[in-house]
Amino acid sequence: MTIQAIRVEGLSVDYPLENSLGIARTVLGKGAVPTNNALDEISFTVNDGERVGIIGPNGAGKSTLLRVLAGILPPTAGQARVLGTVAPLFEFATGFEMELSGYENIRIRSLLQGIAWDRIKEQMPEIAAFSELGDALYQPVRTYSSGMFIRLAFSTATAIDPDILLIDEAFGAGDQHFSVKSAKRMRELMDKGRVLVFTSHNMDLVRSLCDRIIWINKGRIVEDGPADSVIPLYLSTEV
Amino acid sequence: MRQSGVFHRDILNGFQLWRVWGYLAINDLRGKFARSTLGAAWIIVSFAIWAGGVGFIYARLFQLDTRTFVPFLTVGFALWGFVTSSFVESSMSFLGSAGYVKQFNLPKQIYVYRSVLAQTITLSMSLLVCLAVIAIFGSLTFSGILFAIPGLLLLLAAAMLHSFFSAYITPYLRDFPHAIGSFMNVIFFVTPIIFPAQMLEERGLGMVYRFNPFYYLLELVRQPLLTGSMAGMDVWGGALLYVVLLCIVVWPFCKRLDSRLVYAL
Repeated sequence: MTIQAIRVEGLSVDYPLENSLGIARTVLGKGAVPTNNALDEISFTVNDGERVGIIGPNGAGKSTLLRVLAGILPPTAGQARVLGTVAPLFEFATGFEMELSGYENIRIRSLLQGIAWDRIKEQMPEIAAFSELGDALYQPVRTYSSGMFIRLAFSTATAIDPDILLIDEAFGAGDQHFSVKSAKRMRELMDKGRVLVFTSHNMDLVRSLCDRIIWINKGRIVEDGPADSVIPLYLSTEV
Repeated sequence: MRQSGVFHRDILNGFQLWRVWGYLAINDLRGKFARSTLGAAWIIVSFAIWAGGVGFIYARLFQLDTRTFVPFLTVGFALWGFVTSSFVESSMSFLGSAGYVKQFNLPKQIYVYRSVLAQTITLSMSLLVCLAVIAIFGSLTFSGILFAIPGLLLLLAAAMLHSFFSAYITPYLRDFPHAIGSFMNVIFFVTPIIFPAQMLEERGLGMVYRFNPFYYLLELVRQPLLTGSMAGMDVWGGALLYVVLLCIVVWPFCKRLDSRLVYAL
């Protein structure tokens, strides 16, 4: 029997379009806060060992889906059950403590990834080496270029051993040299990890990494099947 | 996976991650004073300068006894700063950490604990100045410090509840920090901080402080530090009542907003 790693049932996500408690609206009789339906009753399961590519046009709900799987966004309806340790690799270049050094930022991000204090100490030399930032790691990160931020964040985020890897458009990081290096690291991680869920607009990349494709549009699943059949279909209709 | 999402469990699980919020809080203070020569020692230095200067000026102005008034003013001001920051600074707990909240799936309460810890460290440093001031005027007692500790703990509980409320409401209601900031500025002048409570009593305005919960929170710590004996039952009663009421309001309120909070950031 195959083990289900991810089980998504009737998953809907509504984004509120206003930052309010809705009190003023209720008083004025304007009804509930308007929402944007990002995911609309999506259901699928992912078994152990599967590599799933999520494709679809901008605003289809790909990133929302990944964030729900990561346990960051709560679903409005339905549920997403995920079995195993999850490593979300999203928007690398946000959330830095500008006045703190590269080393301290690595420590903070590792802690937030749920890595134990002592473990971080052990991993630090490896993370530092992979980033190739050298002595710049002693400098406050406000002095960093955008490429250096990506190096720091990527090196930290991938220094883990997760069961389930969720990647949102993570490639193309930094300069040519680092892009090649990070792509290689990704593949290594995928070999170690049991399950991969990956979103990208780069179909060659998706094809090379994933065996199964879920094509979504406007929050609904359009097609779900092997890469060889779904990608050509997607390309012929969307492009 | 550390599946977050259930409020009361997140509150506890988040608290157990003290290494995370502890490290963040300490680095917040370091970051705030980065590139200054004195660093975080500025908390002590600036408060000492304030206490020294304003203490004497006010004592002259109000013709009060310097020996009792300057320690009274210093302790009150330090505690008031803590109460205000539990509303105003904590309002940014989630918004200021939005990058983290949207990226990592740890219980988001750690960002509230982070704010409260940073404020508590600031308070502790200010209280060191207070102890020095009390010692200078010769009324520092060991029993006073000892009896202040339970009071400090209840004050901390109140500050934690203020922080939770402020942190949760602000993403939805961005006017809150400004509104509460101006509100606290007014309350400052009707709370016995720059004048003793008897002054209100003598003028028949006793109600002004007796219905002010912040008076009780301040007295819990101020009274033992200044007199060397435990705060009275009336003070404890008022403070406990406030904290219990606060808990009854804040807990369900935050619980309700908790699950959808990420969307408001």
